Amino acid sequence: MSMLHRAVAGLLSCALLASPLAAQKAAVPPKPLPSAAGYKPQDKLEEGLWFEMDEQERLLKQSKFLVTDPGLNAYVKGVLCRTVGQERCSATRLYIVRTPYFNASMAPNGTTIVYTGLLLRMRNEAELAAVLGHEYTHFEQRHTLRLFKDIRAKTDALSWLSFIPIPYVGMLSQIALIGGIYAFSRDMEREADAGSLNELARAGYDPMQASAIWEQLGAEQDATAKVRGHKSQKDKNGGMFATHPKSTERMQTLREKAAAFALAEPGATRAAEYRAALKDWWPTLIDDQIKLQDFGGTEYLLATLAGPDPAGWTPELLYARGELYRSRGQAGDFEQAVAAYQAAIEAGQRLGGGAIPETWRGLGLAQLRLGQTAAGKAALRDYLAKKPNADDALLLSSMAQGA
Amino acid sequence: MPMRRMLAGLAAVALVASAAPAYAQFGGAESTAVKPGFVLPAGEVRILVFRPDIAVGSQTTGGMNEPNADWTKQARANLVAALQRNPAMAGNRITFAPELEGAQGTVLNDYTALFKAVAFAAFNHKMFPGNRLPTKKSDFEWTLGEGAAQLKPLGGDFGLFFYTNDSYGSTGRKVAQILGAVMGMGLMSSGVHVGYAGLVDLTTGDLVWLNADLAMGGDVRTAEGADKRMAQLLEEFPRKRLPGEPAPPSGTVKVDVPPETPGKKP
Amino acid sequence: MKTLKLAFAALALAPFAAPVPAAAQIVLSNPWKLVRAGEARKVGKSDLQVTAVGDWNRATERQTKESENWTQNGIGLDDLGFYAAVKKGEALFHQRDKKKDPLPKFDPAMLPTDIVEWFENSARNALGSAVFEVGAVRPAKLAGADGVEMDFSYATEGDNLERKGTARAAVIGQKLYLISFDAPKIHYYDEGLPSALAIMNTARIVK
Repeated sequence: MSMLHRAVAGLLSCALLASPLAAQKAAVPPKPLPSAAGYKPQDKLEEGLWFEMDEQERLLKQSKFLVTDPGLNAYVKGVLCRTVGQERCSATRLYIVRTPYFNASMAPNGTTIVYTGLLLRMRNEAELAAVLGHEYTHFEQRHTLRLFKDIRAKTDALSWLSFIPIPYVGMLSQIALIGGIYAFSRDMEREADAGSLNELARAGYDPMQASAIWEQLGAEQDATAKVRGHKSQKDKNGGMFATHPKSTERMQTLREKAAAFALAEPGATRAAEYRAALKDWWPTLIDDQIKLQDFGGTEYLLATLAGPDPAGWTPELLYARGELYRSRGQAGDFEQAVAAYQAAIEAGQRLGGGAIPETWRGLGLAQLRLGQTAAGKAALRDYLAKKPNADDALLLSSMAQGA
Repeated sequence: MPMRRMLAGLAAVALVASAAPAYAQFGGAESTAVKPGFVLPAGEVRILVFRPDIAVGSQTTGGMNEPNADWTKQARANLVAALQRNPAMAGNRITFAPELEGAQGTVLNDYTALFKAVAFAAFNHKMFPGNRLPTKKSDFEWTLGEGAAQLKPLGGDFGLFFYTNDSYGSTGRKVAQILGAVMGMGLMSSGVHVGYAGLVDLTTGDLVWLNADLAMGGDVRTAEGADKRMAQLLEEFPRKRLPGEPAPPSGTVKVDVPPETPGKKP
Repeated sequence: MKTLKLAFAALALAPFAAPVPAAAQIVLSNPWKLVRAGEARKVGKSDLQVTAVGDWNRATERQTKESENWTQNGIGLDDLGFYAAVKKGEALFHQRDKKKDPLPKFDPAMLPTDIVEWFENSARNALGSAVFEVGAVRPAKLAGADGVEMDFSYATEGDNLERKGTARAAVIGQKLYLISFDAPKIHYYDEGLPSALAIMNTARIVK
């Protein structure tokens, strides 16, 4: 085991030396790292945290919010292992949780949680790898432990680490506070960013992908706030950028560092692999997002996923756009929705795969709201022909009756 | 249905450690309820003990709970031993519920979750005088349903659940408490020691006994302390029917609730 | 950000995680009143009248102005909720934060399927549960008007308990009326559903 320790420590100190930040850290002698096999907590506090997290992990395994799909779990775990290496990733256990928000966390004992909202927002495998690598660095450098020691010194009325089961306060939310994306200090975030770039480069991913994520998130939160008429959450206390380095600084740092890698071959993004892996889950995930009723944020997100090229608007994304407008239902929205659904149907025909059946359902309902009764009923009948056993088939067929 | 979130806070107060100052307002810190007329069958009773929720830590000056793995492990071992030593368990066969996987594990977990919800309702509406349900004022009728019988093959005709949480006041916290009292800032809790236990008749699913204590004694880190704690947890545990004893009269209610503290009106 | 906010907001919702002031509510005079079997009553001081089938307990605390909640077994177990006379632009449930956490608003122009989606979105966001799902949906009558009936299921993070429910809704005079029954999937839903549906059948608009 000590040989493994040395090997891992050696690998890491090599990697760290590759980045300018690491030059300051090279002098630190290698301590045993949580990422090593057979690692044990080093002090009482760490032991206590692990013990708590082990208990929470037991509960997590029973959670009704767990996504147990073996294919999806294997894929995400695979990306983590590709990024940090098979040995280091075996210190972690992955759990995917059905929650439509962007977050991922890696607790001190290696319990790793990825929210489905994060999976919806990543555009390719490299972006997912960047986030996982970032979290892994927090875990490996024991940032949670450092954070707890910092906070313990201050008066804090919230016993956020005690995990006393307060009814209806989600354990998942509590875990998200530990080792989550929004939990750490600026220095720790800088460390994690630097760490994630190293991981990405070593694994053959394009390190430039890391910078885009944060910018996109911030802009999405701005879009949410703009439509809802309040200040963007990203700047508030406890908000994303309160603890993270300022977005522009961060983007710049990440881009510079990424460029400095000067890879022999351009790094991969593996966008196609990512889309294929998410294909079956995507309709559910976008449905969860639309049901949040966050018009501004969702509109921004869809546009980001489509990208600058008009061809990026796939039948699925056009369908989602239709659903977004139809569910808001303000003046002018149903017209927009109809246009989007029709574009989805057209794109589906053009590309050959066809739009999903729900597109006809949305089209029919939007047309009925516009008073286009004949067209609306016809579209609903089309939908029912494609999905005769739909949950609301009885209701829809009563709405589709008559000419 | 979202109302549940608001009103659930009422139930939470009984079991949230940091609510310790609040309990003082209820005029007491413990209460027990038993299903009317219930007695355990004579002879050996098979009791299935669900994995107890046990946590021990220390309270920082600011009131945070700092988990302590050694203490919790010790407490678990002590409490398990104390349970087996407790006189209320004499002559019974105790089985600790195993860790199960797959569908069986889900059934076990689902019933444990249901027990907690039923216990919360029972606490809420029985233990606090101001919160009684008019349809349940004079009885103690809560159940997990007949499906609970699915759990019997795991090793019991009755299911026992218990929970204890300790957060020992650190020196800093104790000092702050004294200072606070001296400066007239009211009684701040130093240390938290709460617990509850419940017994379910797995044949019918009926909750037959429930006991809560918001100010438990006994240092669970020691064997003697665990004995004392277990005695409090099992307070007024149902007794067994004596040989030749006739069937119990129905409608008898045995409910101890804390008296309302005089002067503490809203 | 949102998860942090959610956690803090949720902690704030369980007001008894913080000491004293909220706890004073515990010592209120009894917030529960009896509704006897056969008793007809206008719920939430609205024009929606129902007749109790079996004895129920009604909460005197209201979520919104014209809503009312009944239970037979208590908080956290079964819940029969009445939501009456929801007008255009109003939300179904109480909104925690009108700007940052708004709930969707009712529009009398809604189709029956829109009402179902509106109910689902409202519940999802009020409960914070992405596993809230509406299943079977069918036409039904409420207070004599054509409407919808929907079955649903969900769990919330805190107690991890699966729950099932059935709700009925109709638009009457440009306003929405909805009655919803939900309870734990084990035992309580099956036990309470018959009388809940029977109560829904007694619904009338009484001026």
